[in-house]
Amino acid sequence: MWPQVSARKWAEQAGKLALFVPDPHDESFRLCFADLGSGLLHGTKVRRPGDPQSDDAPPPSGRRSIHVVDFTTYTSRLPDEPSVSPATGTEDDAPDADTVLARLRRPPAGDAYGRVVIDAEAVDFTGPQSTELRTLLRRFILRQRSSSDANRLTEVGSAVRKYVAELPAGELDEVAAFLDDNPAEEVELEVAKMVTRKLVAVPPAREGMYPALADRLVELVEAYIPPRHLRRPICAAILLNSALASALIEGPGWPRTLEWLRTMTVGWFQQQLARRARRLVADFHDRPAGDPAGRLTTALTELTRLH
Amino acid sequence: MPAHRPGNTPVHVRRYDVAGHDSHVVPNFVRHAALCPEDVPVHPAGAVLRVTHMVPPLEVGGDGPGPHVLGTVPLTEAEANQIDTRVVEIAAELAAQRLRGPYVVRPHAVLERAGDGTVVFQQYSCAGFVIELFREVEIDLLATDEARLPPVTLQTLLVAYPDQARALQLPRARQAVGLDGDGPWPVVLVGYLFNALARREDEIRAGPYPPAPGDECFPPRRIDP
Repeated sequence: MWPQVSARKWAEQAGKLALFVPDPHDESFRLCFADLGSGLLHGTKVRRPGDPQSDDAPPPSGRRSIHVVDFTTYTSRLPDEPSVSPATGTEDDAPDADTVLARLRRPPAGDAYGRVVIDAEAVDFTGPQSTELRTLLRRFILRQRSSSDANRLTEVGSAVRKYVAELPAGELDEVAAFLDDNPAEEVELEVAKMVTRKLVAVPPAREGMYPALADRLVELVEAYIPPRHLRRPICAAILLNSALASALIEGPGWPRTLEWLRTMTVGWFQQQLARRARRLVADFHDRPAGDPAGRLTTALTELTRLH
Repeated sequence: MPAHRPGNTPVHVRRYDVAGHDSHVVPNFVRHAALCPEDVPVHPAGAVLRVTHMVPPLEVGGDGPGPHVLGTVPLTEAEANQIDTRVVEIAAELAAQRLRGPYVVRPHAVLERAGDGTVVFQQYSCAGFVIELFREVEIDLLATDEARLPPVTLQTLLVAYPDQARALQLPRARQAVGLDGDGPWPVVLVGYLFNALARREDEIRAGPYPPAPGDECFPPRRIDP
């Protein structure tokens, strides 16, 4: 087994794609970083399997090129093994659901844990696995949602997306807690966006179905609607998704929200919101069940009239 | 101005112009596309340019090399703001995708869905990222339905994706990026974008460009036998 942990660590720290490439001159491998600008590979020799220092070897420093080869010529001499993941260059080691859950059961600490959270997003979970996954992701989200570390927020975003995607229809109100106590803007965005996506996939069975979530969304709209905030794209993205989600839930605060959106003075934002609403209305009407009573699309249709 | 090769001439880079970078192997084969997030009234030839692009990962406003090709859709301020919003909206999921891999080659944009149909995350090729951002503001640059895409051979893909040449030679790894079997495949190549952008603004806004064999280069030139 090749030192996958160190390879990944190096690749992530260097922010590059990485490939394991066998060195034609001896039996070692090189960890090669693809430089998209030059079309060349920058590589460094990696330690052999079983070497106790494998996982602790230092990452390549800066942009120093240790070994440069012409990629096209070099790859033509490569054998057909081992199989590699196109993005990481490591052996194809996509974890399964049980492995991910076992890793997530450990105390949530360090970068390795966050990496498992990110892996979990692309893994299929079934029945009891999904229930346990949600419990573990919820713990992680609630602990980390106010982090100021960009990498940690990427992990929390991944956890939010997977959590909401795995949530059974009817339980979406559980997400409201993620918006309590001033989470990072990045978390507000992922929550608002995923709530919208969930409601599009599984529309609420009745009006006002998610009262706590509806209240939090109204608060987001109220917080981000002042024009000065919309100079920042993340604020505009939060407002956009909060408004759409509010329309889909149509809670008690919806009339007030709609009035704010009607009277705001940022035309470009109203245009984008109206366009998104039109796309959702068309999507609902294209579905086999349609929207016969117009219940799902009434509030969205109000948004289409903003511009 | 329609898409062009600036050469050694300083250019005016407009907000959300599309910058293209050539292959080092095949002349005029455009293999990477990036968006320019800010207006640069005079950009000297070869100078570093701020770009937002799918490397992968998504890189927002990082330094990129001077473009070999430049394409423009004169956007309104509103449209540019709306693209800004869309970039931020999907940035976190593309950042996570970078750590997880794999990259996507075909189709140009993939929506990963949960069992109930909820979209979990999205993936894009570098050209797909540009195409879908313009679609956000209802500008459809390119016809991407597979029935209208020219077939692309593995040999061409190795030029288009030199960073993934190793993986592309392995059937299992090819499958992971959407390329079943031995090809050819209907793949959106970056060069198509610049041939789409070589039209007048009213033509661009009127409808998508149907790519033809040879459009992988700008100006068009067939490289497959």
